[in-house]
Amino acid sequence: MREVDRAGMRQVWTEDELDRALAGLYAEIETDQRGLAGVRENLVAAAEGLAQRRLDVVGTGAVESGTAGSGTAESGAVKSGTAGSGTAGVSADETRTADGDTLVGTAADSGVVPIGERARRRRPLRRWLAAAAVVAVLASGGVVAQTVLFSPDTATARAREALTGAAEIAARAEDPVLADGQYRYLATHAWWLRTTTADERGFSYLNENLIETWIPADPDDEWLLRRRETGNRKWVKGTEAEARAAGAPIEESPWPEQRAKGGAFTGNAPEHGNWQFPGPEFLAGLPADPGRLYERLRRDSGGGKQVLVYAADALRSGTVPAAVRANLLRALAHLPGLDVTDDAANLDGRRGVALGVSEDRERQEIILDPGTGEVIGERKVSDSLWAGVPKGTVTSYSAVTTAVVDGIGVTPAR
Amino acid sequence: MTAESPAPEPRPPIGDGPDLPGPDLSAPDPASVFGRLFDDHAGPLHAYLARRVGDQTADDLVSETFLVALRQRHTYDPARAGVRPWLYGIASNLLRRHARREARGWRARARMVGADRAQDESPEVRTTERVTAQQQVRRLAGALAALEPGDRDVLLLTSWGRLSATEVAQALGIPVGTVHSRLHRVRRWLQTHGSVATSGVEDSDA
Repeated sequence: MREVDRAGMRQVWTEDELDRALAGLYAEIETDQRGLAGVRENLVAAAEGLAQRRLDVVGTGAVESGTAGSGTAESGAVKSGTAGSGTAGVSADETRTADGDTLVGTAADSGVVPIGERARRRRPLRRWLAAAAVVAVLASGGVVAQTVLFSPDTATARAREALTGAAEIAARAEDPVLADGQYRYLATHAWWLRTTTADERGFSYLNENLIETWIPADPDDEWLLRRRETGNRKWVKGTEAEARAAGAPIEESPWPEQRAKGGAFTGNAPEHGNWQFPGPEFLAGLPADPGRLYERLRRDSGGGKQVLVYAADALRSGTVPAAVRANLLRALAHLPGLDVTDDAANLDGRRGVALGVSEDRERQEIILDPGTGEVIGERKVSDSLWAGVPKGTVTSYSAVTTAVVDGIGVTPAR
Repeated sequence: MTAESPAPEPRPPIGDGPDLPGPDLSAPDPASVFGRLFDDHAGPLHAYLARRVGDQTADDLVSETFLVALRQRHTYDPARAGVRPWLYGIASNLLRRHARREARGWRARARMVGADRAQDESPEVRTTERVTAQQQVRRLAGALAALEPGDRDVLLLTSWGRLSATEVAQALGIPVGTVHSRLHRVRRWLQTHGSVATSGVEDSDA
């Protein structure tokens, strides 16, 4: 969540938000790794050249340059190696000819082909290949992204079973009908990780937030949003006493109540809707076929765990009809690597089945209530020691409840 | 998935993961050792570099990295560092020569995103409280442009390269404590001043 102070001038990202932004940056780059085959050939040729202590035997065609001298590669290697540091070092003899055209040593020095020259020759072809590769990926799914190299093609059998069961129940659910003056009430109870610092010390805690939204029968009418921090904290790194003693800021300014027509609270709701603002027009444009729906999700979200995040955004918005909810659950069965990660997840006292994907050292999960087919929340769990947060730590979770209430600002009876 | 993934793998990548001993790169058959090293690490390394300097430069840098590794294989000490951080360290050094261009790319990105997205029918706006994806990208790209190369390496090796603090330390030849404090400082700076850093960026669609 973005934090905005009273004046609305200072914008501060949470850890979570920064990670999300970093993960999203250039994530859309589809690297064309076909060029690597040539690079590998070149490397192996160079290595073979070293093994045989000869340079001129490498007549494989992979080495395009005929400039390699007659000195042995071994002497080149010795000459250019840096002193015995265990860490990486690049010797000073690499030179740059121009931006982007780089030579590693010289051919005579190491028996290695000038890269810039090879790459320059290859490029026109590679441009074409890059375009062709996109088509090939779409057509066959053939070029395997590194992240899914060892993953199954779809969700695991257990996850598919859980999703199918939930989808069947969700499909039979009846969508609430709002009478005049009634509102759909949506409460998100969330614990998000926050890190605060003083001097060089960092402290992390899960911070409890309560976000309440009132959605009118006609979604174009005025919505209401209330958000507050409860003041409850679970300390992950350091203690509250230590943080206060160090002078780390902990309390945040209260959030003002917001009202906006169509739910456009910050003015950034897209005109035609999206996964985060799934209005009728957006929902009507979604494919009915689960496979195609998954493709759409993957494309819009960037794939991987973001697929879960986007699906959950829509599923807990309170505005998605039962049939579409069911379809979304079926679509998730196509998500590679999705598995049942906890079949008795406890979220705010509600029991559910956690389905998750591990990626980037954390596990993104959605929690399904198998009895109702509803997504009742999300969790993120650290999958390794990272930034001082131990493996297995729940780094964020949110639980969602919905109800129909008789007026804007009215909370359901407990 | 990285080696930490529980998913079954046909064989463990060589030298990947803090607990695995590094490979003996001085073996008498470098072609086989480096072929396998390439198969295990070139893909992710390429993806990492492509995000920093683009696809084509990434090709060149991957090539250079492995050729430098081949030449310096006798200096690699499996007891001191995993082979993955070693390779990323070489790549980081090579990347330095592209630092100015990379920064130019970030600044261009900070300006361009709005224009890109204007034609995009699927704006990735998150929930109401969140800034739009394009604003995030613009802010972040602008902020990354302003980072010192060393700070950028620590941040992106961690975030994109998925190296642990220990591995980043090995890759860059700096103490682990320095990695932690740099990462901490950079992240805090990005969190609080990311927007300030981009305020000077011309905004064509503002």
